[in-house]
Amino acid sequence: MNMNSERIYTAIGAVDEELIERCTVKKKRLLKPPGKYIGLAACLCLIAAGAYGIFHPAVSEPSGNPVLQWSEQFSAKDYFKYNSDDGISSSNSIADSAIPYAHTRSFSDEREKLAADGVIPAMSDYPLFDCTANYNEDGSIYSLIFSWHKRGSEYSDLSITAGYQEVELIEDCIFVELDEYGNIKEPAVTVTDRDGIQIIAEGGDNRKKTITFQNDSGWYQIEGSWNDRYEDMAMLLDFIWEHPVDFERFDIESGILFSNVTLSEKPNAFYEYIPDFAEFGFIEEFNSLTLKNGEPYKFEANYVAHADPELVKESSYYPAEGWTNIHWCITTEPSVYDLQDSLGDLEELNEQLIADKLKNSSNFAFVWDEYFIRIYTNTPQEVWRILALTF
Amino acid sequence: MTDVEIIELYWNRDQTAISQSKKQYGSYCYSIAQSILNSKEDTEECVNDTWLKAWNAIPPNRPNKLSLFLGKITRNLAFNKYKKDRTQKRGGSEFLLVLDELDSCIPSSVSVEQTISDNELEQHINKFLHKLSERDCNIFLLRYWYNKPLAEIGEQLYIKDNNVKASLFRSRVKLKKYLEKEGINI
Repeated sequence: MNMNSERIYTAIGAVDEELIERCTVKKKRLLKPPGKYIGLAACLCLIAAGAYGIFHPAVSEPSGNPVLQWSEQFSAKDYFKYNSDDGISSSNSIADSAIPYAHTRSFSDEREKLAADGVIPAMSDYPLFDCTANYNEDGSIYSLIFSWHKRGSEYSDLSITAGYQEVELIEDCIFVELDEYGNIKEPAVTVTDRDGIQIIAEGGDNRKKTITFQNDSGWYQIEGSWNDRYEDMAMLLDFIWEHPVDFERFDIESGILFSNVTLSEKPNAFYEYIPDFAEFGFIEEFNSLTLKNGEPYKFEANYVAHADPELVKESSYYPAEGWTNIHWCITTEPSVYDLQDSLGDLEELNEQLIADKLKNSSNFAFVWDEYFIRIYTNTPQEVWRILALTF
Repeated sequence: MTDVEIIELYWNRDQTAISQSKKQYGSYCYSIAQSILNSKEDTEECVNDTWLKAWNAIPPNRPNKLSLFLGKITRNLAFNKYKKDRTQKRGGSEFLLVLDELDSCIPSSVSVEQTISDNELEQHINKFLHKLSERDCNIFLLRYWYNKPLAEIGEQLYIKDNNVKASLFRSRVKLKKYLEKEGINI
């Protein structure tokens, strides 16, 4: 210690009062109902436990990698600079953790509006998009998930999970151990300091990738699949950096509610589009009807024949031999990939077409009026018979 | 009694201002002085001096936030007392650590320019703290303004001691670099 440190100490005494006052404001923890709190704690424990595995090596290395300083010249791959190929690759997804929220709503239908308003990037080359908002019991937002998908040779799963809660800061759930020089001890992750905020990147080439950080607007986790490029991860990061999520926009009342019931609760749903399987000797194993704001949206059911009815009801017929099944799925909103995979309209189907398709696939699909039907089956002949005789 | 009312008492030269200040902010000022002096006797003396200093300063001053105004006076008085009695090795061990840590912020001498004035140094440090994230700035000031132990900061901000330590380390390195970049000699 010397006189100069005393000068600095004295100078610190004269900083703006607003800063001195701000630092004494004790952050309040959100008081939650016991059940909720346990759920949230479990979530955080999972993250913390997982993160401990990532950040805390079994054998500590004496030195590691420095916290990178972001600059305009920073490349997308730089965020992942120190991630070792043989490191632990199990990035911890906040979204995959225990569910601490009480309600969920969808805003997927608002894609164009969200993009036009600058809430999300346009990403028009991604045919699939989902936006899901999760809420606490009191209707406040727990998290928002935006996800974009491509299938086929350009396979891609990109997502941004965002949230804010007055709980432990996300970086404190991720244990970053520094040595005396401020270096990170574990090389499986890269930490970048950008505008005073730490960005933690996990994963790498041909592995799932995540970027996690927290700023004043909330915490964020960007995820990419093994096939996603560093550039796309960085693009999402840059976007969200410039466009913090306005959580208030996603009011629970304005979201779409999906709910699951059985057909018995809504017997008229898809009434003319579900054959009478019992007439053909099939027993229903289960059925599930998804409602979108109370209206039929999706249906799926499995029907089994040539099996003991009791075993079918108990879903324990699999070990027996000779059974056949028809898994009948209806959706009102097929994706572009669904339509690409379709054999055409119902009128265009024939037994040979179905049989040929099922030689190399577990299912076939077709369009019937405004609905899209996909059938998983091990008995093309019986399916065709039912289709031909029913419709 | 509100800050405005207490300040009004000072302006009216009503000595109730001192008893009200003691009532409202006595323990706050005591904790600041105690964290530096680590002596009950010296701390009490310092806090009493605070009221006298405030009495002489208001008017002409009219503080926006009385607690901070009094806290700053206490901090300065306590630190001056610490420096005066340095040879007697006064000061709590935590405070010695605080000063020790601040050693690492001192920029390497990069020029033969004249040593910076106290006022300029204050301005630079103020500017630097505004550049830090809110979280890092809060941690920095709880440590180097309020002399709080790491565990207490962690408890207040709901973060682990280790993360408090890491944040302070990064901020000190940044401050040193900042001062060097500005070409400052201390």
